[in-house]
Amino acid sequence: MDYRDAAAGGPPISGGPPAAALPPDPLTESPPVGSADLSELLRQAARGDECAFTSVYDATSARAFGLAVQVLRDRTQAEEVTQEAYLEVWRNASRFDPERGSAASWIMTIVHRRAVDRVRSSEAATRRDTQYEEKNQTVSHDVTAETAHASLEAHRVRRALSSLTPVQREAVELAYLKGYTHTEVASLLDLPVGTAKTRIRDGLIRLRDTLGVGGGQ
Amino acid sequence: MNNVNDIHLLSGAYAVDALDNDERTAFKAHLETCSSCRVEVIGLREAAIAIAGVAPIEPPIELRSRLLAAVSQTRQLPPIVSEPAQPPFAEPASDPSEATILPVAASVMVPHQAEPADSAESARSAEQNSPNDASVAIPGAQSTVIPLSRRQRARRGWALVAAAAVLIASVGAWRPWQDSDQVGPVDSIMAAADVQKMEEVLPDGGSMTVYRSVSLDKAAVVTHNLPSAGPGKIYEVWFQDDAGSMIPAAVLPTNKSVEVVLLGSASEATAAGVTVEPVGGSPSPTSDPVMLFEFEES
Repeated sequence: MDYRDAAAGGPPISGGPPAAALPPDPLTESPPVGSADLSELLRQAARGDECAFTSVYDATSARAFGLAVQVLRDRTQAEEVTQEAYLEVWRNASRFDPERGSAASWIMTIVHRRAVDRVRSSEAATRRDTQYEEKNQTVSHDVTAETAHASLEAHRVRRALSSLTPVQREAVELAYLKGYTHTEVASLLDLPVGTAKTRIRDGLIRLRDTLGVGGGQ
Repeated sequence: MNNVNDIHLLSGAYAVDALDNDERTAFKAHLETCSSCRVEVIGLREAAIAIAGVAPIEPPIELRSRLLAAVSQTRQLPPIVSEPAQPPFAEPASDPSEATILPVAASVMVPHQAEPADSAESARSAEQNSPNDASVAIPGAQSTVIPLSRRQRARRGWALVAAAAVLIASVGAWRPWQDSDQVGPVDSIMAAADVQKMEEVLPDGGSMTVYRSVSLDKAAVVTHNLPSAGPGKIYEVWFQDDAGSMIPAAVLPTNKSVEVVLLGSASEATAAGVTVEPVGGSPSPTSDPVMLFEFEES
């Protein structure tokens, strides 16, 4: 199966809901950018086109920053990580290969990896303290308050998430949104070591199949 | 992790960066030989990024300005041409080996960007584009219109000018590859602490945003997909002073997304207006404004 075809119908980057349904976004003056367009913009950026790169940023930065804030729970650090990650996107644009995933996935992988690296660095080690619950709640509140658009897509993803078992969902969210290793996830969820990785994988597979994304199966 | 079945099960944790370093290294090695895991990781990553889409947060505009300023000064890595040099499933960066490339790339960039002949050449070629396209000069005035796609090239021209000014002020300080002079003037206006932002969307699509900073005494216009002004016509931007006079500030190409620093004093102006004028621009408006941006009292 041609992966790009699958991605084009999938959720990445505001491709789903019609443009009219989205509230006007002061930072994104461009129309919603589809997955195929994003690939093409990235190819142009690889040739030094800063305008194309700007469009890539405008189309993806709200999710990227949202993810960085979720993982790091600190706006200043999230800003730094987002900036570093996009600079990396710019530097490495020529190395993006659409055969290995969508442009959005490539970008978000870079953002996530950098956020997780930051979280695991010694500087951020103090975050795993007893205030976990409290911090977690604070951030969730901020995120909800600042979410720009509750789009149809977000609704679809929430529904898909609710199709996971509670343990699967928790394992996926602790790993992806909080940046824990599967070993740490096992400890947090009182699972035997080695079980969390299976929960994460099963959860992601179910999510993938429910959403109909990705080149798997 | 001793047997083969076990390592397949790490695909999900790998897709969401939930492996420790040793496991990660082992799984990356495994990916090179296991096509089903490669395909699976792609799909699981797509699923994971869908989760990130649930709670988007608009980053601050300053982040965008900082990033774009940094981008214009950052050399890009060349494409990987020989596959064997890089593992087939290599990550774009974060690896220590990538970090060692940067200083080398930076030192390569220095002679290239600092080469005056090259900069002058770039500036010239930017000017030679068709009048409706790139740098459109207002009659009797100097204004710089930079289509976004040409900013990288045109900025070298700016850097040259900025560097020349630095040379006059303090001899020997020309380091255009690291000076903040190279930050685009539009970016510095957007990033100014007192920036005022006004946006107009045209009925036919396209939009124009004016950024004004009283402290910098400058304003910039950013257009996005402006509709054609008509055959033989262009858009001209004016500053209005408190006597009501219209002072030419820029001529804009149409059907383009451009960033323009307006000519003249933005702190003294009370408004900016846009009219449709014959190609080349007019010394004073010949038609009613199609857009008007009232400035706040300064």
